[in-house]
Amino acid sequence: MLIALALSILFALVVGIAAARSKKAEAVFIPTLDVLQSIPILGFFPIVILAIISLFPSQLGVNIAVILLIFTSMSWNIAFGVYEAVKSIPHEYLELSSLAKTSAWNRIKSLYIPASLSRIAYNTQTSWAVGLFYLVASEILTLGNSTYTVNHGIGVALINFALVHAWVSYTYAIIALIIAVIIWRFVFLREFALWSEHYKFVEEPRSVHVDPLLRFYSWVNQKSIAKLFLIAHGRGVNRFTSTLQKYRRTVKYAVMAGVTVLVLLFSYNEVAIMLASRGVVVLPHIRLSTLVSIEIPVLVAFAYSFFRIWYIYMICVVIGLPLGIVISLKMKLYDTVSPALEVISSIPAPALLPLIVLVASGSGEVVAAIVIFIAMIWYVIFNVMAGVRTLPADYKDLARIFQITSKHAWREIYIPASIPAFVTGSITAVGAAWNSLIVAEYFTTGNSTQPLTQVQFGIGKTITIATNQGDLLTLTLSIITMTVLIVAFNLTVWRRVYHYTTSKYTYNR
Amino acid sequence: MTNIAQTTGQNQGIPRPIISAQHIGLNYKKGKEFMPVLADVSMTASTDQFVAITGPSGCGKSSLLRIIAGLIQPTSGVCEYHDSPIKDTRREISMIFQNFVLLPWRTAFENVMFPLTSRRDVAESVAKQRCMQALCEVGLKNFEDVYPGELSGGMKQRVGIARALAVEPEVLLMDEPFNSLDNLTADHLRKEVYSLLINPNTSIKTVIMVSHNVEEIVELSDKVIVLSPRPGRVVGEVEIDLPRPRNKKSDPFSNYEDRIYSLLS
Repeated sequence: MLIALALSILFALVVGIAAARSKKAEAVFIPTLDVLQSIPILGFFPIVILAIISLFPSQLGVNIAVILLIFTSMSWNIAFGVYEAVKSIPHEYLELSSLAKTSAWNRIKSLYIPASLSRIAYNTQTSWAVGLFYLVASEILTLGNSTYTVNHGIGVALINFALVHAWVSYTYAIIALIIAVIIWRFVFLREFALWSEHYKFVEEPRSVHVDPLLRFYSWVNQKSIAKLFLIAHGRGVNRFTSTLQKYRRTVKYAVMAGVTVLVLLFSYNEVAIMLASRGVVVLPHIRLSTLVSIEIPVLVAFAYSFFRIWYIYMICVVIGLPLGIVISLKMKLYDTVSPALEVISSIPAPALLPLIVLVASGSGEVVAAIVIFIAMIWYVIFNVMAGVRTLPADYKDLARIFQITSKHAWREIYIPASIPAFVTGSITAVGAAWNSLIVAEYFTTGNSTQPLTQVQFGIGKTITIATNQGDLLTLTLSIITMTVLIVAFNLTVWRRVYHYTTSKYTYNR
Repeated sequence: MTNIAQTTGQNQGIPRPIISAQHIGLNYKKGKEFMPVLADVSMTASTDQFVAITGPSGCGKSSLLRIIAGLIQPTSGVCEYHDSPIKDTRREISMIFQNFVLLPWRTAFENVMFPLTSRRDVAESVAKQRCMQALCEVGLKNFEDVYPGELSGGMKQRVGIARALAVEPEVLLMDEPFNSLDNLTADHLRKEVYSLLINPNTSIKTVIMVSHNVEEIVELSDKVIVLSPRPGRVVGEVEIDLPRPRNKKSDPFSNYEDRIYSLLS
């Protein structure tokens, strides 16, 4: 995992600096990152595994695949962080360095990297939690295929304990995971973040207690998600130019999607040929009729998953929105609860899978619901909490001075004020839910014929089964279908909701 | 006229003050230590009096205002409204904020209406009428349906004033009300605000304003309470006896300014 993190930071520095300093690189990288960030990476994992294992058919290959996946999950937002940081270097510094005729390397070393450090630190905090999710998920995913599994890893250990019903060991492993999370988050990352404070350009008013949640929020809200939907973001963009931009952006995204599909198809052929040559799987003939006959069940499965995610999202809203508001309105409750929530939330849902299977006693639909719920709820709660925390204290005074009843205060102040953060959280949550499907809907281990848990229909199930059977055609079609539909949904629905809410429900304008 | 750290309200023949703060002390808890913010502050505000509280930054003048509002409770001493201690916020005491604190998702009218929607004792039709009238008085007729985001800073503060007027309070508190406005806008609003607030047609009997702008204080107030740096104590009280409207270029005006400056330094 550390290897993946180091790779991510390196990648982020290269891409981020390049994108920030060169117009051409910006035009290529930023939309690419946008799309890559919004698709469920876990869906690609099976293809990656098959491809890499065919190159390195050993433990090494599997481990490379896992590292690659974690790297993928972490690097996008760090890259955005670097990009934003380098972009926002005051131009006087650039003028100074060009006046001094510094070399490019010198400039990178003494200006760009230090300038990005604090953003890297902050974004690493979030990336870490995401990375942990993929770590456990990818490790246990490899279990589905008996030929290639990671032998050592926390995810594998957890599942193996659960399989032999060694619940004591399982509990110990979970506790070890939690302790590791605590040490990492509150010791190492904290130090890194504090140290990187020295490298800030603008001295912000220092408060004794910096709310880590607010930092997280400001990252999620302003950077990543805004970037996901707009290339030119910000309040300065007026309505006219944004209308103009809209069409250009749509075209850009369409081109991006097209290129992605082509690349995928190409790599499919490559992989298939390679696999066939090694005798792993036989290259299937692609006919239109077979395509259609595969595509229809894929679409049905997608519809089931789509519905599943949305009804669980509704449950998350009903629970998460009021809970987030209540916690952040009560100062004492907030101080005690929020660090605890942070720790609990960083336990990846897949790690709890065996426990959930046990609790749900065999109902695949319930298992899926719980896993998806765990994957989503934190994003909703944390974002709502951070949103309410950014509400100026004056608004609470306002409610008290004018003796506003709590019903009115909720309806008119707290709920509207948390809406932009809530929408941001929802977008992230649904994204996470799509990823969690891969383990939530179907889970099996290589040495048993009966899957541990499964739902009747679902795109996650389709993908996992296709992987295990080496059915590349179904796999590819499923992933393409899922990617295209999700990206399309993001661009049409979420972007509009996001625009509408951020323009209507911001109080500091 | 300058009384050092002396309790006021001693002038015989003047009716009982509306607001009377007596020996107010306030400590903030910072870690394990207590940081004194206010120490033994006493002041009063009586009928038709415009009182200003001033002092260097961090002297606790805003905290004092919040004690009077009932938003925070003093560590020692008592603050009374008509002889009864202020334990919580009350509808007779209203406030105008430095940063306006309007609901951006509501129109100007709905913002003014907001406090009244929580009131059972005011019928909706009466409330609506009051809000329209308040908006007219602050010069925002025809701006009822505009959202705060489309209003200038000065107009936003006018909405804030209308909102405070509409609840028909007896005491109006203002926390640096002109501080977020640019000079020109603030100047305009200052010229109007005194006659807007203190006139026989409004319910307001007394105004207490926190400010660090000496010119603004001399222009508006009848009485100035000057606080020392933290912890805030009363270092002086100046009664300003000038005819209104006041001429900022006149000698007596400058004399008052000089006197307040000398207390501040």
